[in-house]
Order: sequence, then C-alpha cells, then structure tokens
Amino acid sequence: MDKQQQSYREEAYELLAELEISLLELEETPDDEDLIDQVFRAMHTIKGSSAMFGFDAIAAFTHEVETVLDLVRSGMMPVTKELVNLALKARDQIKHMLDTPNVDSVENENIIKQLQNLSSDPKLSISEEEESISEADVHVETVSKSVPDIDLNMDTESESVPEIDMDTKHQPKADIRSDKKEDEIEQVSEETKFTVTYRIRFTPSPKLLIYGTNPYQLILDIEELGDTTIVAQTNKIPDLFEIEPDHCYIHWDIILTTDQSIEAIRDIFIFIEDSCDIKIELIDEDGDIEFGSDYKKLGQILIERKDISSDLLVQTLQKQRRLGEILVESHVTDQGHVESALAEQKHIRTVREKRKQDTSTGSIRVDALKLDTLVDLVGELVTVQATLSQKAFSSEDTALIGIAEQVERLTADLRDNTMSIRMLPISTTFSTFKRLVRDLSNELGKEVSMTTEGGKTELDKKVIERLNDPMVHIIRNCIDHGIETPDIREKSGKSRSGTISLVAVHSGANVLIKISDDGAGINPQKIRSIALEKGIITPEMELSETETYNLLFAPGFSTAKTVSDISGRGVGMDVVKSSIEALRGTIEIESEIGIGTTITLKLPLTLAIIDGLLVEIGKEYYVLPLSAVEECVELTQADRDKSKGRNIAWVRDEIIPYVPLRDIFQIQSPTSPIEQVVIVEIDGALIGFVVDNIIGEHQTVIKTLGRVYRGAKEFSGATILADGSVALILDVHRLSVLAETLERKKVEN
Amino acid sequence: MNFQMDTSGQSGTIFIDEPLTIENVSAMKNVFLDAYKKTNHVNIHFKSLADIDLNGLQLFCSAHRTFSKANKKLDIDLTNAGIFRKKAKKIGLIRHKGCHLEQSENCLWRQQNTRSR
Repeated sequence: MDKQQQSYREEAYELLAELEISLLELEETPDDEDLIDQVFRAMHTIKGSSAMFGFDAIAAFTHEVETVLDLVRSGMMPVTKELVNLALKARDQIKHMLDTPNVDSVENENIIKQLQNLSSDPKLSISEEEESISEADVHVETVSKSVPDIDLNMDTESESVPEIDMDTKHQPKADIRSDKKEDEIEQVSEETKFTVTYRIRFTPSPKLLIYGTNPYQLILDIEELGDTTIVAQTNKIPDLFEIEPDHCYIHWDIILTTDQSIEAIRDIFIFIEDSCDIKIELIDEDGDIEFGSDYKKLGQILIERKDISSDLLVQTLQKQRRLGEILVESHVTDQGHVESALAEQKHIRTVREKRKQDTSTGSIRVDALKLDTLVDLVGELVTVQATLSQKAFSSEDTALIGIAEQVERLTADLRDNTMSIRMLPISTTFSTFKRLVRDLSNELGKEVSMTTEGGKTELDKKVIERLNDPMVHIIRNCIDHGIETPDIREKSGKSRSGTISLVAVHSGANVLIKISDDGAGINPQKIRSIALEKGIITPEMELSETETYNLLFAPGFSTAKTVSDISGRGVGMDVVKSSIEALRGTIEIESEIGIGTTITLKLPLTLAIIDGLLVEIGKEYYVLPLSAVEECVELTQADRDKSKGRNIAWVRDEIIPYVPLRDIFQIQSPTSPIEQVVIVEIDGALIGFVVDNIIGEHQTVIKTLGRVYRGAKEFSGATILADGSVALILDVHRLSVLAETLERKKVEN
Repeated sequence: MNFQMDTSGQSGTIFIDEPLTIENVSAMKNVFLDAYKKTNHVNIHFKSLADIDLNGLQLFCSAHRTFSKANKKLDIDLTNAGIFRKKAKKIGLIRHKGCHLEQSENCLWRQQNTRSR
C-alpha cells in the first residue's frame, strides 16, 4: 500500500470515529443542524477521498448513504432512532470495508436497501410526521403578537459586535477539497492552501426564476466552496397588492472564506452574470494575522459597500448613539444592510480568531513507528549517558565531569519531551465506549447513560491501546451484571436510567481510571458461596471484603446465572486483571449493595521508561518497579531464627510474608549475613522480596525480552546498566503467584 | 389550500396542504388577498408542507408586511412545517432584527419568531 493510500486510511478511520460520536450526539439532540451537517460532511469526505484513492466499493456504498443523509440535511427527512441505527450500521460497514478490502457486498446492499426503505417511507416524511424526533416539540408561533423587547444588537463604532445567528457553515479543509463537485474529484495538492475571504453581493434579475435558474441552488454551490455567512435582503419585497409571486425580490450579501480562487466563485454565476448584478470583493487574506481577530468597524464596512456615504456617517456619529440604530432610524440605510455588515464583521473576526488558533496549535501527522523508533533511540541514549557519567565520575577529570553533567541534563530533557510526544488524552478511548454503552443497553433492554470526566488526562499511546479491551469487558460487566432493568430500578427507588461514569485522574507517576456504575452492587456473600462451590476457596478460609472481591479475578469465576453473549462466561475478569498487570497496573474493586460498584485501574504513565529500584542477588542485578515499593528492611539471621523457618518478617509488629528470590532463582553463591527485604504492595497486601543488596534508584529503559525468554513470565523485561551489563525487570505480581504456588506444593508434599 | 372564516366570525384560517413552490405561489397569493379582505385576523395552519421555495418564503414575507402595515394579524402555526424554518435559515433570512418596514418587533424572520419552542 502506497503512502497516499495509507494516509487515506488513517484519515478515514479518524472520520469514522468522529462520525460515530456525531451520530450518537445527534440521537440525543436530533434538532441540531450543525450535527446533521457534521455527519453529512464526514460521509461526504469519506466518499470523495475513497474515490480519489481507488477505494471504489467504499465510495459507491458511501454515496448511497450520503444520498439519504442529504434528505435529512435538507429537512426532507427527520432524524429518528431507526435512521441513527442504520447510519451507525453503515459506519461500521465502511470500517469493515477498510479493514477487509474484499468484503462481501451483500451486507452493503442490505444496509442500502434499509436506508432507501426508510427514506421512501411516507410516514417519515418530515411534513407529515408530527412525532418525528426533530419536530417533537410543537411550534406554535404567533408572529403578530408583541414579543419581549430584546437588546438592540447594533454596534457602535467602539463597542464589540453583538451575537448574530447567521447561517455560518464550517467546512473542514479536507471536505472542501473533496467537495468540489459531485463525482468530480481533483488531485490533492501537496502544497498548503491559504484561505481568503470574499464579500459577494448577489442581486438576481427579478425574472431569474421564470427563466429557470434557482438562486437557492447558486447559494448552495457557494456554500460548497467554504465557510459562509449568508444574509438575504428583503427590503425590496413589495406588499401583497404589488408582488409578482414568480419574481425574485431578494438579494444576498454573502461572506465566503475559502481556499478557492475568485474564478471558482465566478464560475458559479457564469450563466447568469449578464442578467444579474454580482460584485465580488476580497476583504481578508490569510496573511492578515497581524491584525489579530479585530476587523473593520461597522461604518467602514457600510461605506466600503457604498451603502452609506462617509459624510452621512460623520454626521450620524456626532449623535453619539449606537450607530446601527441611528442609521436605521435616520433612514440612511435599512436594518437588513446593518445586519449584513454586522454579520461580515462577526464572520471575519471568527475567521481571524480561528486562524490565530490554527497558527498557534499547528500539528503534523507522524507515523507511530517513527515515534517508537525515537523512543528506542532515546532509551539507548539514556543508557550511554549513564555509562558516560559513570566513567566521568570515576576519572576525576573535572572537565569531563562537566560535559557528562551537561549531557545528563540534556538527555533528561530529551527523554521527557520524547515521552510527552507519545502521550494521548484518554478521551480518545472514552469516546469509543459511548457506542458500546448505547448498543449493549439497547440489546439488554436497559436504560444506561455514560458520563466521562478527566478526558484530557494523558497516557502513553501504548497504554491507551492496550487498555481498550479490559475496559470494554469491565463496561460490559457493569451493564450486564451491575445496572438493573428500568422496572427493578424504579421499584428500588432509583431513576429508570442507570449511569456508568468513567473518570481519569493523575496520581503521582500513575493515572487512576475509575469505572463506576450505580447498579445493584456486588454481594460478597454470593461471591464467597460461588467460590466455595467452584472450589476456589475452602470453607475455613476467612477473607476480607477486598480479598472476597478479588475472587472475581480468579480463573473460571462467574456469578452470572446464565451465560450471555455479553459476559458471564467466567473467562473475562482474570484476563482483565492479567492485561492490566501486563501494563504494570493494578485493579481494585469497591462495591456497596444497592448503591453500585467502582473498579479502579491504576496505570503507569508510560511503558518505555520507569523509575526502578536496582537490587543485587549473587552477581546478578534485578530491577523492581519503584512505584510498587513501600519500604526496605534488613533481614538478619536473628530475624530468621525468630520466624522459625517460615518466610515471614516482623516489621513494626506486623507480619510480612516474603519471597526469597535467591531460592526462587536458584542462585548458589554464598548468602550474605544481612539480607534486604524489599516490601511491595500487591492487591492491597504487603509482600517482601529478599535480595542481597539494594543498589538504589535507577532510570530503567525497558527492553523487551527475546523469544527464548518468552516462558519466563516472572520478568517483564530487561534493562542495560551503565557498565553494559543486563538487569532483569521483575514482575512482582507474577513472582508472588509463583512463590505462593511453590509454597503450596511444599506444604502438600 | 383554502381560507375559511372561523365560527366566531372574528378570524379566519388558511389551511395549507401542498408545497409552496413557484407553481403554487400565484394561487397562494390569491388566498392571502381573499383572507386580507375578509378579516383582520388570519391564522395559518399547515396540514402538511412538503416543500417551500424562495417564492413561497418571499410571498409569506410580503403577506406578513401587508397585514402588519394595516394593523391586521397574521399568525402562523409552524407545526408540521419544519422545512419552513430550515429553508428560511438556509437562504439567509433568519436574523436578530427585522426590516425597517415593520414598526414593531414582529418580523417573520426574527430568530425569536421562528425558533422551536
């Protein structure tokens, strides 16, 4: 696949993600015309770029979907739940076609057929369907009644412009590019296009409509060129006794921001330019950012347009009132022209503000593999820098030490900056769950809404990628087992609709992700009885509440009475736990019967470099993740004697079980008289790991272990030390499990 | 489309059940004129509105102005007429304030007067 096709696919996936979010929002606010436009534009851009890069099947399929969406956009069809369902289905199908190029076309035809049936259903015509979502609220307008007085939104020469809700359509550049004309795709220009803003005054000939040209279509064509603000001037419409109904009395002021040339605008009017009055003026260019978002005053615009003379403006200004108000009252110009000038002022200010933002937040798209390579290289550099520092300090050469210190500082800055490039906001993952919640709750006949908080919290790209599956499983469980059906909720005094909340917060070098539901909660007694039934625990085992909840993570455990497609096969939560632990994270459950459950994931910010604790056993070095370490204590022969052969240490009158790593790794060299116990917290419990010596903190660049070591699950990777030797990184969770298994076997024997 | 006087005899209603496009606007104008002559208060009720074009919107504007100037009332019930506001917005008619031809703030295209409630 060539580079262009690859970038097409990346863009298409992004558009599909945006499309999904827009459709879900549209389902909640079906009247939102901006959302309808967003949905249409996303589909239209996918169609255009698919055709451009040779993905003809996708282009053809999208074209059909777009046709139906166009009916919605033009108000001929309402936004209904059924339509959103089908649009989401079509979106999924496009994604499927992107994933699997030679996909079977039967499903395409099915979806198109369903969409076509929906669009041709007379019951769903917007004019006849009173109960459509978009028109559900009844519009009774008494236009001749007096309405409350509102602020006279007219600008003075010194005041800021008031809010005007003109018809401004924002089209992303990608859309403009592929939106040139139906089925007419231009080669994408690699060079950056600059936008300019034109003022178009279009005064059609009164008989234009009789000659068969519809000005409305011309306006739509102009809209296709970019961002527009359109103001129709109605002052020439005569009263009922004089009006010729088939004549056109309206003229338009259109402000257009586009990357197209003035010729492209003229082309639209090419067939009517002799019979109509068309003025096109350039009023703003991309290079004008030095002006910030400020733009001409109202009076300047009106004079420029020749709507008033400068003399009259001066005279009027002397009256020191709101200019627009004075001009209208003095019959210098009419309200329509003032509105139009204010609209122009607002349009340009918005364009300039946006341009300013774009300039300051410019970004480039970089291949993720290149980023991975960069991180690897920085990792190597950190290792080399450590070697350099060690050599420099041992040489006692002050000049060399100075250079080494400088390199150390620069390397630290480079490392932090490189790591920050890979950080992504968690909202990228959160937004995908909205669809999951919607579809699952529909499937199970439950009413569930989802809220998110802390979406801007950043995590390493790799952590986010690997977090998706475990989170999907947890959310599925929340909906399937946690949230009750609407009737049950109502009976227990809750609202019919349940809530799942996703919250992300920083906590030191970690991020906490809390997934909560306001469902039935988890009954510890029920867990215990199931664990007993399945032989996971024995009757004499006394467990704390946390330990009881942790039984949910035992392989084969399931509290669901029936196995559903959603969850309840008992193969999920143990996989979730191991996935989180593979990310060097932890998982915790808190629950209250009748109130709900919260599952907290604690995850490291990054997987590439960690703060580690370097330890020594025999002649080997090992690293423990510093974030898990609670404290270190000495272990003497006297301590061993006190515990009478059992692997336990007494720390401030508290018993801490420990794992003698020397025994586990079968290291034969003589034991030192005083050993060290590194105490770490695992699943809320403290456990010690006995080592010979503690060397100290170590910036650990994680290297993946080769294929030969794939079976050694107790090591999560390796790192290279300053002297070039290798230290293995310990997976404390797995090591504790291994120690427990070995201990059990020992007792059994 | 047709005009009927209400039983009270104080007002009348124009019922619209066909598209208000260039083909029908002349007939619509006559209905408006008929209503104007017969009463001071006209209600417009859309049984359905499949489409409205520039001419239709223009005619409504004209009728509304004519009624207002003569201190007559023209009330529009926009139920079943979602396309009316959509087209008016698309064409650039919706605004904050009406034109100077109207003395009060009851312009047909004022945002407040066409907004869904």
